[in-house]
Amino acid sequence: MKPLVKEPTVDTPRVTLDADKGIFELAQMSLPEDAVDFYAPILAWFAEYSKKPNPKTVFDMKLEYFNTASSKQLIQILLLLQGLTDKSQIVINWYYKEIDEDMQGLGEEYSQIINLPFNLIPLPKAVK
Amino acid sequence: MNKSLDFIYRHFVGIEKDDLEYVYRGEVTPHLVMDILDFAKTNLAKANDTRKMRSRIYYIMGEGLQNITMHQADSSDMDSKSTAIVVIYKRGHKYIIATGNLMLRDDEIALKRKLETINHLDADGLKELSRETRTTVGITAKGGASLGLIEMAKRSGNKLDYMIKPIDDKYSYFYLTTEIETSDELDNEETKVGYSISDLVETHDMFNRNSYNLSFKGDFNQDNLLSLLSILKSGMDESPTRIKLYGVMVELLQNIVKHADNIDDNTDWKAGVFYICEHSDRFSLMAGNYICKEHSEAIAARIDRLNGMTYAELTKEYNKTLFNFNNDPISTGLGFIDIRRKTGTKIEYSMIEASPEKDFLMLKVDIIKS
Repeated sequence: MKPLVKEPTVDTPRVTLDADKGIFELAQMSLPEDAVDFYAPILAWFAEYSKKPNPKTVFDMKLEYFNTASSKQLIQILLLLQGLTDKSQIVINWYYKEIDEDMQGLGEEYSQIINLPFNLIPLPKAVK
Repeated sequence: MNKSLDFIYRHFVGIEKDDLEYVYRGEVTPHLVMDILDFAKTNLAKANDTRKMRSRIYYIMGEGLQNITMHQADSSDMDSKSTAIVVIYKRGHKYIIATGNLMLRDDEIALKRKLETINHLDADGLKELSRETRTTVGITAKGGASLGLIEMAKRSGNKLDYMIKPIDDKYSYFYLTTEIETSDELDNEETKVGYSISDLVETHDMFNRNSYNLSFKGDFNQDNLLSLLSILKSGMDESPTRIKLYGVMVELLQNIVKHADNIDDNTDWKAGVFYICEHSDRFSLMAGNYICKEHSEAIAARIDRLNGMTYAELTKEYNKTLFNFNNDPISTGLGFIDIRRKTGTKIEYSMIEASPEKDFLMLKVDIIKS
């Protein structure tokens, strides 16, 4: 299926969703004015992907920051992936800066409310 | 309610669309200068001024800010008095750029002479002085600063208003304001509001007394929010505290961007005010905006309810709200919960009647330094 790639801006993340290459990544900043609008094509992409997912899906969450409006969209992505476990082996890599206890805490919380394996990966400096 | 927050409303003079007042107090580094200029550019782009006028205003701001970076005295033995202050002020057709910085008393006489010379020249005289200065002065910081002052006067078409205030035997404080009129139309007398040297000194004193680092009054839109966040990042090294401060600031400011009402039902823009204060053990963020009276009780009840919750209860509330997919584009309901969880402190608030239909909501949040 066609990849969905978006370049990052000051308030929206870098998006790389490429089923053929096996890359599923969100990175940098997410604080869009209208999170519903920004994430709609991403959710649509995942909905399409879920019809014929890869045998393994590794989702890299490399967001340096996301606002509460984004969190509602992100949880929908994670729930979508949670629904694919019978068709694909799903792994969530949750990256966070070592000094960012809030992002670490969110990773721990999400790993408990979402029924998927989470790897919490600390980073020494900025996520690129 | 915490009525001690009501000063926010008293300082918040009702402003018109496209007006703004931005004050920064702190170290002015070249990186911060770029951030402040970007902030100005964002605001200038939205105003109804011509491109030529916007370039002029932008240039003068740049000179004013670089004046600080080039002119200011080094002072490791001073406290808050040594920090610079920058004010960008717009009301109607007036832009005012005001700055303050520490200087050496030994430089006072030379600076006064320079400013008096500049202020006594007409447009042609300033052009000539600028040309002379460029060709005869070497590339020194002080030489550059002289040129900067000349350029500010030349391009604004106005005198440079200034005050040199002695602090002790070694240092004084140099205050400077430059005014630019963007239109030949005269404002109505009632709406003609300026920003004088004494306003600048008063602002500086207020900021020093209350440990304010930054304040913004104006249109709360996404662009301004992003500029203010960038200024925060420039002004602070990355640390767990800064990360927390950033996150709370986003939620507080986007709360205004998305939820605030206006005094006159104009939905083109959102009038608001925001302060950052730094104390020895914490940062305080304060914000104010208009809300419809019909929402006041619900907002107060929500804040009171969240303030009464433990961290565990807040997490439960957060998860419950997270999975509520009504996809309201305006409100996720998570903002205040997020602020409470991140800060671990209560959200202080107050409300004042602003009109028969509107209240002014003021919020204060503390972030304890780690």
